Amino acid sequence: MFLQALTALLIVISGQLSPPVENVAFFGNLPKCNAVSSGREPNVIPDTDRQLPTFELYCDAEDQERQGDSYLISLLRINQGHFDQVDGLFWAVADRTFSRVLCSALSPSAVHVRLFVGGSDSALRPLLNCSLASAHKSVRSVPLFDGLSSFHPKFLAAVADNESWTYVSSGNPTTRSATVVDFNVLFRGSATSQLYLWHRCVVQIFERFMAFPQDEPLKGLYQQCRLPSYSTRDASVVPYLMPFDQDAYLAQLAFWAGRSDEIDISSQSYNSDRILEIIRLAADNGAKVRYLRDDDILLSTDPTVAGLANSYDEHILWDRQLCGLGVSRRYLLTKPGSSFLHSKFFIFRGSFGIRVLFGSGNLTYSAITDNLENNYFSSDEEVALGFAGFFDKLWQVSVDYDHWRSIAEMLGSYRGKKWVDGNDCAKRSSR
Amino acid sequence: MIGARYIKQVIAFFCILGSVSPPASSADTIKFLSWNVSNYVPASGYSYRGAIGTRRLEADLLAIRQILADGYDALLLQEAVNDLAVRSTVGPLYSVLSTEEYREIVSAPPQLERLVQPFVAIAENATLQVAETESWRLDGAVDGNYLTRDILYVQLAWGQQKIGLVHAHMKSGCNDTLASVQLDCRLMNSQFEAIGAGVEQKIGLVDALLVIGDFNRELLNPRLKQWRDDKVPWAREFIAIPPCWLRPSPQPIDFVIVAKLAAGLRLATVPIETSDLELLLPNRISDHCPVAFELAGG
Repeated sequence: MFLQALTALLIVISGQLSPPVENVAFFGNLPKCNAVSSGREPNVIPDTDRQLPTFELYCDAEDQERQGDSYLISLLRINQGHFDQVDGLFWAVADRTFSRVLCSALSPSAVHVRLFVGGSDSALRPLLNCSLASAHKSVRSVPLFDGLSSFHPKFLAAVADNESWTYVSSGNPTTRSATVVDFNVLFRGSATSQLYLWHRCVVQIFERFMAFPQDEPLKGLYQQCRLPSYSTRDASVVPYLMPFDQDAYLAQLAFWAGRSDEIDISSQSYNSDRILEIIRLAADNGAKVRYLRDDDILLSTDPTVAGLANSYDEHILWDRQLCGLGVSRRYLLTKPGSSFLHSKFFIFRGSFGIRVLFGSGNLTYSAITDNLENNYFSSDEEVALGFAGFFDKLWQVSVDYDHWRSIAEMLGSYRGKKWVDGNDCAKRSSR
Repeated sequence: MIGARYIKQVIAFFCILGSVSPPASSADTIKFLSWNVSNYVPASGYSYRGAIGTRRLEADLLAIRQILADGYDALLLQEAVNDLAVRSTVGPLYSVLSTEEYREIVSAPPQLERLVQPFVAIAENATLQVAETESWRLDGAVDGNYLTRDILYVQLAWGQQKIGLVHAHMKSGCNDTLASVQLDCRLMNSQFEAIGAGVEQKIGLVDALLVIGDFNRELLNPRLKQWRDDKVPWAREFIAIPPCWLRPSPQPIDFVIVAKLAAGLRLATVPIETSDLELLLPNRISDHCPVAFELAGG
């Protein structure tokens, strides 16, 4: 009798503790390109090998034109005339189509659209010219401020009636979006969901900060959007605004890495020693670690990756510290400037099941401490399995260092290369 | 015997872990809490509002939460920074209601002045539902650039009874002044006038009509008797609680004012146990006493 009562009580209580599960859609962008297989790209790869899936991520300008709409553009197209409120932050908007379809996605009775982007505002023109009867429109490019080294967030949150759409991605709306290896996650929920309101709040405080920059730093304003720790404990998705939430984010990373049997990682670049320490400790304790790298960093004299080349040594140092038994590193073969690995996420597996950390931030020092980024933790199985399936596909088309090197040599002897023996696991003299 | 005690402890433990857990309101009683939560955001740190911001530690937030989590059917909160702050505190089982003024602010260009807002959270269930809400606007009558602090009216369907709640956060700066033309007092007077007009309109439509909140006015101060009779003629009873550790002043400014209570309905204050919290610095919790009360006889 007592046990029955206790069981019933726990069921009721656990039901009360769990917030409504959001409806989730995941889409990992995996372009199908034929720059190599068609022979458009100069190479000496034998005909029989050019059809290998590895080359499908090696995209040129012609491939970009053939790929069609990105996930975000499609989302906006199917919601024409629908959204009443839109809030977004992006590192860059470099696609006028995005601005046009976003304008069309606003309902005649829209009350506001707030969009802040880094870089040029030329692609925002259609949105700036968008005719909205009585909506508050705040659309502009933003300069760097408050010591941030990069304005690097990527999300769009919208409301229609009582529903919300919260779109988060590792990518920006650009003309090459369709050939960039990015993830897209769409959370559907009520217009009062904590996740949606957090995004709206972040844009609201950002707008206020831009309007009155001398009044209070963004960090102080962010206090208005912070969630109580007890409300995030049971939430299926927890947002972090970096760098202000860096401690909570790193604690979450360390918590799950320390309990994982397997950790899969994807990032465009890696140089954070704090993340490295966490993952290396997990690997030392027996976790199997797989991580994916883009190969552009290895083509260090290519002017399109000159920025990355500046921090080349840091990147390689990260690799040399995270190596050895149980650690696998593979590369995606992409064409610098046209396609690249841009997804940033961790997948943790263990007796607890599966969890993910993902967002706009790379695994870099700047993404933790200097950039404005939107990152997330999720215990939602649908989200996690979306990332897991995406990672597995990427892993299948990736190659190890020796394979990559042999292909790269056949692809472009015209490129300068700074070879590094990826199998050279550094001596850990300090450990 | 052991089982009942154990279950009580398990309930207490899980209530602390999760969101604020409302009871299923019974057909006999509804439990309310009204509280000015003083520049409330649910995260530790400084909750900025100019010179009157509030700095809180995690322990202070847990204390606020402990007070809010005592099984109330309705929470009437003044001075929350936004609806995210309230929703993330009370959890998904409460419907959170805001004024029209707040909904407009969400979509309006930013203001330099930092704002706090009143919210009402109702734990809807089979016996208690929100039947109607209205924002009673002041339309910037005092000063077009001044916040009007709209009044929120919520009508509850409680079984066969209709309960009207008028949630007010009156303008501060005029707490015991008899006559003043300064802006704060003019705005506060306008708010009282709006409430008076609203009460007149609703009083015949409900079984109980309660005006609740932070009045920023010493309504029981004998000096204000004449003013009170003029401005609050609809008041049948003023319910306040004695000075508390958060606000030791002998003159309360937080009230439940009864405008109507049909025969058979009874209203009584409910004590709030805070002795285990009183080691905390009161100015990190709130500068107002929470007012808890129960409506019985539905």
